Amino acid sequence: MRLPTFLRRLFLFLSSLALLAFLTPAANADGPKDAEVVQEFFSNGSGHTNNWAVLVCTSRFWFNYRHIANTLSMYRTVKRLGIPDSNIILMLGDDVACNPRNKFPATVFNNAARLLDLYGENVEVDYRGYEVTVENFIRMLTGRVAADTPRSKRLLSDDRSNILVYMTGHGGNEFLKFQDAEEISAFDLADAFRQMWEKRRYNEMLFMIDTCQANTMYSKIMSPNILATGSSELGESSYSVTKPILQHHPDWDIGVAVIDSYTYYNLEFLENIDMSSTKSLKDLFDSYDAEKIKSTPGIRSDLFRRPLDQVRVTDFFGSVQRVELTPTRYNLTAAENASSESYLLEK
Amino acid sequence: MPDSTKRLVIASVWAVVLLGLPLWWKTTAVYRAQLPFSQIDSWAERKACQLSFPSTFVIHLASIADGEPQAHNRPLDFAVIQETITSNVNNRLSSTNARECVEFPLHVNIQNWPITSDMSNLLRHTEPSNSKQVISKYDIFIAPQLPAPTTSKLAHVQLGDDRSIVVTLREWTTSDIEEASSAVIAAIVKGERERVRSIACDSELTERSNLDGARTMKFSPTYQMTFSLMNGNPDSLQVDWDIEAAVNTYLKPFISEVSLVSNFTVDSQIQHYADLAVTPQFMEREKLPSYYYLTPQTLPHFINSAEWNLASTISSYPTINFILYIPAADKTPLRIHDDKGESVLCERQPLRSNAFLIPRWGGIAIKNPPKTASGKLEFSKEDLKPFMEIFVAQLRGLIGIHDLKKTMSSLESSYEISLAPTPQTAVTVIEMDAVVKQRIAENVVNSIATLKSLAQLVMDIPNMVVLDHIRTEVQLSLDSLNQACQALQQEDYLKALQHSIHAIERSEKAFFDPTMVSMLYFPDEHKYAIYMPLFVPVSVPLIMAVIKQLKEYKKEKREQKIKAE
Repeated sequence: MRLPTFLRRLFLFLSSLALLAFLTPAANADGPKDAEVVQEFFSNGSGHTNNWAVLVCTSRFWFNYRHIANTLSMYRTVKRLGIPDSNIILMLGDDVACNPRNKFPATVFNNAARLLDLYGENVEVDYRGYEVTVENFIRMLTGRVAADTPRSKRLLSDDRSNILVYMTGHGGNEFLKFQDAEEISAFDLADAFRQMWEKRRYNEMLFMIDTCQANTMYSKIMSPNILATGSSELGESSYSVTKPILQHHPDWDIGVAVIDSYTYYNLEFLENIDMSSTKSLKDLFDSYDAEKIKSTPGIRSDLFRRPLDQVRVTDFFGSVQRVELTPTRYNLTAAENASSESYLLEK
Repeated sequence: MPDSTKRLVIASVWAVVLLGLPLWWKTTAVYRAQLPFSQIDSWAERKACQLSFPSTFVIHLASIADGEPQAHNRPLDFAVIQETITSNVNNRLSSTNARECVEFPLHVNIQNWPITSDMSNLLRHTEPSNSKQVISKYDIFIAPQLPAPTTSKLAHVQLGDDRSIVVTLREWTTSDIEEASSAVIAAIVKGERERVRSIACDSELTERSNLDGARTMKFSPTYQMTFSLMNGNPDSLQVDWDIEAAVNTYLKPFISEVSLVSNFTVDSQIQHYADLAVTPQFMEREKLPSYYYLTPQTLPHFINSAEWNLASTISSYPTINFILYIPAADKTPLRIHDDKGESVLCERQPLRSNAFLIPRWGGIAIKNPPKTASGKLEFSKEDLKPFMEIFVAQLRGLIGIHDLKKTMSSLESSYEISLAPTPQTAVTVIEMDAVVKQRIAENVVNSIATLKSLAQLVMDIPNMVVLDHIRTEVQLSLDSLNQACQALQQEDYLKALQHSIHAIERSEKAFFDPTMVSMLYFPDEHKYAIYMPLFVPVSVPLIMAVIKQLKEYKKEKREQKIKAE
């Protein structure tokens, strides 16, 4: 039965009113609403607002080419995933790119196929050569730098920074060798982290170390919110250069090993990640295969409060910041007597 | 050699050893100035001084002089009204879990306010009792709505720009006066109390999930504001802007208002070839212009950190970045979709302001160049006005200002609220008062925590050198804390803010002093390994000599005994 015309029109009118009511945006898009909006974008609960990366290569000399390559590979990864140079502290103990023994000058490769030059145009090394010392490292971590230290050499993290600390070089049972002249012990490292926690210089930290007997290096850490992973257990090491075990493969043209196994397999996983990836650290750790790496990687998560399957890889390796949409603007009028003198403006 | 000489020689060598031992111990001890540990502990346990954030409200009750209906001239019992208002406010604001770490004393005074029956522009008649504009001291002027009620709600509340509030009541009864006063006082005070309480009292875990705390920049006496104009592709369009004039005209008043708490240095830059790291999607629409858009999920990756150089080496102050992005020609117009949920037509709407904020970092606004633009696009001061408005809105959020309109929104159901607009300074005094209180609480709490960490560190590492100037800084910091707390109790917020800033600066200076790096870890085995090769070979003949002498002495004694018998 067809409705009488006026009822049909009434029905249309009312339904279009209802539609309009749905479509009208809310008048006050203010704080609490922004907060709800924000929760959707960022709900994995780490509470960090910025990311830092401290990448340290402690070795010197040409035959430690692979340590420089390790560190530069991690540098490239964190930069690709979004951490800006101002938040990366790169410490390279030696300059192999311009070493006279380098057959391909001004390049550093991490692969025998030499497909990717890690030492490209956009590399910013903060501590170089002889500046990489235990004292500088600890001063940088704890913030007790000399007053004239430039900004790029300072770790300006705060209580909502997630920090990735990656170290590589030659190590042993609870120590790591710096520049063939000194060493840092696991106690010193644990102490430095404890001081960082006391002053709330980090929110969460991922400590990654690729050396011989690396897992001993994080055994003394006691501060909360630190997740540690190392490349080899106590007793796993090799000093033989002719038959490298931890070294992954040499490049016969360059003449030395170009990457370490642990870092190589980490990079294999990380190269498949981009900025928006939601893969978790559990996925990364599950991809470790002790047979392929030829040593037993270790993971220490007892101090870390979040379960690993809820921690995204980009929480440490990338820089995914929360955003809040700005729905309204604040009405301004021009100031009277706006003088032409600038207010503390620097050109 | 006669025995006595031998023994004298051995005894003298041992005397040197025994005298030298304490001398060596004293001279190789690490210099440690004595820090006032007990004071630091008492501050850490909040026993040293009770933090209090008092507020004073002076209520002026109108009494109309010229011959008016009796209703409006009934004498009112000020004392009773004061009592009722105070207890009402306290009832409304008492939290369920009363934590004693912070106090919020409330002082309410009632005064007579003689006025004429000419109600036009009441605000002009008001004379604030504090002509020097003391922080946290407010005047509430209450008058009846004459000659006729102007609103259907209980009262009309006008918030002025100088800590004065005018409330005109529909009905002039004692209960209405009390109700209106308590409601207004409670609304003003509630938000700031909650925030100060959460800063001062909350445990760390609850603080983690606090979005306000995550957005607000950590306190710093100076911030560096950087304005960046990013041009997506200068091949099609070159851009320039008169940022200096825009900042001077639109931002300078705001900056000078906020300089009470923090200073700002401003610099700007233009960057070309600023590619995006994310690819916008294309939205095709019939009958309406189509556009490119970015979803809110892709916005966290908007900043192309690898290519855009936003770092600044000018200073070590925390940086607040404001970016104005001009998309490349093949990506215009570029809009941001909001997240209002799926509407009936299954379409998200582009955000009108085209801007978003990154907590503790800064803000971004996207400007699509007009279709007719070609060659060079210059932004004059007036062109930049809408963006300055966006940036000011974002900056307010980043430095912790809470919108007054939102604060008073809880009253809107029963009262009609009107706020004096502040289009020049972009911040009202009531908002600034709240920021001052929050920063004082933040600084006091952080400096106490820093001093406690310092004390902990010094006690845990017995080998660490503690020089005199560290002790001086710690002492000065504790003094500043004391003075800040006392100033708070006397309701002198300006002084309290200064002292709290000094306290945090000094405590950080002491904590981050370059001499506070502990010596590297020396296990006991190392100490033995150093001293043993020096002292063991020397001590062997000494000890053997003493033992030999003792044996001879015993032998002699026995012989003498035998001889005596």
